[in-house]
Amino acid sequence: MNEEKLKQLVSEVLDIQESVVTRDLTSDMAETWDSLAHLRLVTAIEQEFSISLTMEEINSMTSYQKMLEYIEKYAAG
Amino acid sequence: MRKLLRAVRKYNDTPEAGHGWKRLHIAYLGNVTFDPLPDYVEVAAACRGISTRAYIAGYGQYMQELIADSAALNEFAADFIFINLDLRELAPDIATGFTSLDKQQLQDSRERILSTVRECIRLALAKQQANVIMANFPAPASYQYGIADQKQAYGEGEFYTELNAELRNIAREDARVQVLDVERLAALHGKAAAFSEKLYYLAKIPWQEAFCPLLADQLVRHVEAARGLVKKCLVLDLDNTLWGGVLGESGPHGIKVGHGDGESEAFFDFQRRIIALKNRGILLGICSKNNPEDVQEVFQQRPDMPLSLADFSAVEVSWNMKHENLERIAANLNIGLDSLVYIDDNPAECELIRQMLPDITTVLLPADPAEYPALLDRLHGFDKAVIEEEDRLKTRQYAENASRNAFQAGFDDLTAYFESLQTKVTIRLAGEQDKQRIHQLFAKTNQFNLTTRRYSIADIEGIMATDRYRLYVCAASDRFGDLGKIGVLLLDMQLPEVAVIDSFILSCRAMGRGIETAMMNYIKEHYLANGFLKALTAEFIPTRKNMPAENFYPQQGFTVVESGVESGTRYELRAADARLSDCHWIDVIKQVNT
Repeated sequence: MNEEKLKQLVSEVLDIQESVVTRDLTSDMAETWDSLAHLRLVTAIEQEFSISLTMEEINSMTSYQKMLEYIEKYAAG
Repeated sequence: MRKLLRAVRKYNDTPEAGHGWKRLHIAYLGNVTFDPLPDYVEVAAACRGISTRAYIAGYGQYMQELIADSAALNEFAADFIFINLDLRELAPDIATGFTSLDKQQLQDSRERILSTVRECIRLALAKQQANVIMANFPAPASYQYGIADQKQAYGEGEFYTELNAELRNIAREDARVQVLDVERLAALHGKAAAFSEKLYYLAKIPWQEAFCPLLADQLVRHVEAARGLVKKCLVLDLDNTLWGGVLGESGPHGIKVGHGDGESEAFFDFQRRIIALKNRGILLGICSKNNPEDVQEVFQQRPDMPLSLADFSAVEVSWNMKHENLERIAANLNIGLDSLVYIDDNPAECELIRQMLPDITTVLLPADPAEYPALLDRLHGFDKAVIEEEDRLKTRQYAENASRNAFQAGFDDLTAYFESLQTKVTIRLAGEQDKQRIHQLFAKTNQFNLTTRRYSIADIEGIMATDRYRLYVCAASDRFGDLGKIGVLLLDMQLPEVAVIDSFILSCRAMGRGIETAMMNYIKEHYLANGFLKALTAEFIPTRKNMPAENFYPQQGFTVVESGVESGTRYELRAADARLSDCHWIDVIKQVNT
């Protein structure tokens, strides 16, 4: 459920195909994933999942896998 | 939002997007990361039919780009420059070390901030033709002195109040400078939710994304106001709009307005807010299905209502279809349907107007009158860059026009009617004091406007500063009152012996009574009859609205030089062929300065 929403969100913000958004996706793989896009992702994730990430988490959130981890962590908490 | 933006971008890239003056360039300069604000502005502007392009100066490069005359910024040719300076960067001692400074140091710091602001604005005005929109400085959500801030000799709250007051003073010095009140918007939105420390630390983005739509909306309001994209008339329904209840059922004393209960007070306050719009220069109209006698009666018998019938420039009360009445209001006031906003509580009526007259902005009232005033605040089109005495007088002038029209009915012979008006006209070269009004006339006149060139304040200043142009302003009065400055005529003197009439504009409230002829005669007398020029040339560029002026030049003795071209018809009048046209009923007062 969360993963579906996240996949859609990442594909939309980064302007890439949903099929490319897999657990292997890292920031250096997508050309559109620059520093501004990164913050757009953060803002979108925070809004969509009603969570607030710390600056450290934001800086280390360089892969799709990490995003899922943080969302799971806050969802569980 | 991203999908919306993509759609807007796609449209903005097409050649027909916002053809001409509705395609605007906005440059963002400051010491913050503007993203994603420009995207929101692009979408908000598109919602108002304005196609925009953004230029975002390098982070913190605002001074360098202005001083070094950055080629990129020059090439962008901004129509608007939005400047946002964050004190955390500009004056970190204030932002985080406020309590460590004494009053003198604080005031010195304030002066340093202001001199940067002044310099920034000065450079922007000097190097660019753009209007400058300067963000003011939002006070922080909490103060470093805590609750004692209010008792301090020079507290943080006071510091920001003074800083923003000084910024206002700077903006008052130049018509091209506007202040965007971020302080008020942030308070409206809630400061805690407007700003983001986290985004600022990570990327120097000051605003939370959720605040950006509001900020963008405000920026677009400034753009619309500066470009004269405004509404001229607010037309209101009566029952459950200006008062609670149905007049035909409850009678003049049964309707809810005035004092005594909450609902009545809400309608009372709503009426006061409508008067405030009238004071801004917005015309008021009534369009209601009611018995005309009942409406007359209620305004007579309820002096506790803030609005009186005299406040309205157009009143259509009948059992006719509302769209017919609205069309009549536009015709009587001599304004286009797209200059009207119509407010009603009845969804069916609103839908009817939307379908029949889509050019009118139709607004459905919320169920609760307590929310009516907030609705007025949200509407676009009633914002003006600056409100002048002319605006305050305007609604009276339209009311005077109504009595002129009633008076006209008593005459069979038009000339006799014109003579009875006792029109007095002055025509003179424009001065500094006319600049604002001339800009309004350029921006807002649609009907008697031969070329519809929308010159900005900067353009007008440029025109006034050179010898190439002669810019005339015309003012008029008659037995019913003062019409104010109602005409503009711009001559381009670049060529030897021939002058080109670049623009010829007459406000619609002064049309059709010979004033345009008096202005033309004045030019013929001063430039052709005395041999100063060999000929005048002129052009008529048709628009959707200026058909009333289509035959003006032929009527004044001009002959067609070129017609059928896309840009309109070109005319010429040789000195040898020039004759004055009859408008003997107009008394042209001689001026010394021409």
